[in-house]
Amino acid sequence: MNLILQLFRKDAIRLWPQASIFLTLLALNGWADRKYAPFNPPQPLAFIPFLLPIACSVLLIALIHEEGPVGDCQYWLTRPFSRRHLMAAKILFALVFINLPLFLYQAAIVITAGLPMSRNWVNLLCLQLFFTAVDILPVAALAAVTKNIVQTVLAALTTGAVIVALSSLDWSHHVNKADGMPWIDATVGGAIFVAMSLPILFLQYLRRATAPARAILAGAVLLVFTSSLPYAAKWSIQMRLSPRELDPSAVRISWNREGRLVPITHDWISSDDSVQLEIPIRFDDLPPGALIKIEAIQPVAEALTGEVWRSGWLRGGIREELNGDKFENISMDRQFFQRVKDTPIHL
Amino acid sequence: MSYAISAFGLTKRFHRTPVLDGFNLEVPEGGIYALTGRNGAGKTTAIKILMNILAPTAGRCEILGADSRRLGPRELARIGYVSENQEMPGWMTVGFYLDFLRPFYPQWDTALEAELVEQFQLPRGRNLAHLSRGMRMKAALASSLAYRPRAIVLDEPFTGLDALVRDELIEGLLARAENTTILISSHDLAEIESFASHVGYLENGRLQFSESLESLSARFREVALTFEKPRAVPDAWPGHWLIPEAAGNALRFVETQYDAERTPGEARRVFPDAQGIEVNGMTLRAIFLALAKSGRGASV
Repeated sequence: MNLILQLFRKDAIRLWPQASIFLTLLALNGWADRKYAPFNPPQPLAFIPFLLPIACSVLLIALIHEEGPVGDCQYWLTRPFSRRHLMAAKILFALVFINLPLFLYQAAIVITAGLPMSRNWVNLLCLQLFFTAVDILPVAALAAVTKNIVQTVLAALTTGAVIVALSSLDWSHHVNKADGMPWIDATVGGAIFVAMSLPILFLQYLRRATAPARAILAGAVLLVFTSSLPYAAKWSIQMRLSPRELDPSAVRISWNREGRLVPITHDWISSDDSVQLEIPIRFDDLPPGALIKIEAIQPVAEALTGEVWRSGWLRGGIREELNGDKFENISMDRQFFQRVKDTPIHL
Repeated sequence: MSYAISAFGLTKRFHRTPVLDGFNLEVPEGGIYALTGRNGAGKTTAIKILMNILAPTAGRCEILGADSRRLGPRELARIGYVSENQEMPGWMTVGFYLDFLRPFYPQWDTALEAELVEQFQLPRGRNLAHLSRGMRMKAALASSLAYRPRAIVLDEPFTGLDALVRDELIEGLLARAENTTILISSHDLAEIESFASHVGYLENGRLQFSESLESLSARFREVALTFEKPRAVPDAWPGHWLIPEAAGNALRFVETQYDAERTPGEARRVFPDAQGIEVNGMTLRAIFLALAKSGRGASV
């Protein structure tokens, strides 16, 4: 324990500027919140919520890099303290300079709001666990596989860029990514990063295996991209977690006969192969208080001749005019449209 | 003889590039072993494996009876390590660095620390990052001697230092490490020669020879022969004679198995027309250069 405290003391002496900045920002944020809530604070103070995670990350990265696990020239590799001691000292530092102040900050919010601490301290502890898992562990893992803060920032930017690039590629081809339930993918992605952070830290601190740890990080990026759940699964999750029991089959969607008479074509946004149609639609039997949002559609059109045009799944989207008229966009095969445009169809 | 440091069939490959290939080493307890070899021969890699900084691809090594892969705080508290490319915490002052390290070593001798600081004239209040290279090496050495380690491993400690600083370092090291086993890798052969008890020559990932400096100095000689007229180097040539050079009426070579009675006789047998034979001792540097030029090692 003495060795851990010795390392902790050294880190506290070394990192007091970074820790002071983080703690000052935290205190300022609390003060601004108390003074201006529920309104936004004035301009300089409005930046604090963005600066706080940056200050926290900088402190964490500096903490890890003080005795960085990457490399073979660090002075501490041949000094008589193990990586276990080192990890314990780093955890102690994070608890004292990050988790504890955050806990106290949140406790102050609870108390000033007039809520009893006796009923909320468990929730606050859970919040700290969540914060540790989602914010501290991934940053610490990234710092543990990099040699300096420049590398860490570059790795973070690259990771983000790869995820965004892969996601945008996917966006153009699959309706799955175009749903309105991004929180599910974000949660799964976050859970993957949290789950990967622990083996990365374990490998770096207890096995000194930088290459496998970096491979895990790269694997996590790919996994986040490929881990998007099927639409039906996400819908099922969303419905299960929805606070209101709702039977989707009870909601009826139909052509709005009271709207405009014909579908409006938008040739100016159509391609050679397809034509954009706006179908006036209406919703019936929507429970009070419920909002409807079309995530994806699969239009099927049947002409009087029996000819059928069937689209694959497309991104859905309702356009609502000021008078309340609603329209659903569909992209129809141009040749089919030309054949049936002046005849009734069943859509 | 008991060995404080030993390596058995140590192999290390970086990706597919072999750096060590069956490296064996035995450093007798209390000895001062100089590990020499060209740049890139694998000296630093061998030392890093010995100190458990790198993992070997195959083989194993021991230091003070402990498997180097299992070196823990207890073992490291008895081993000193100083390296030219060691990254020290530059933000710490010399005094803070020593204060910080002290609690980690049960054997830390505060009086010895003070002596070392005084002898090396270390400025306690100056940041390590602001020290000259020589002063930084002195600080590293002081921090590795103050706990009276049983073994000290030094990786190229003299590189880039001026003669005065080198002398001070060696003096400080020898004065404070009487019963300590020292393994030192260095290019500074002239310095090593003055205090090493054993020497090993590493090439192509293998230790080409390893013996006491006394025995090495005894068996290497530069032999100069003189002739009446210019003489070419003959095709047939004893294997233990290295880098023959003919210049005018003279011919020189390096004898690697020198024997005061046998060598002159053998030279006369190969060169019956030789008019004069002169045998000169060789410095460690000259021996090292002869071996490096000839590309020979184990065979000598």
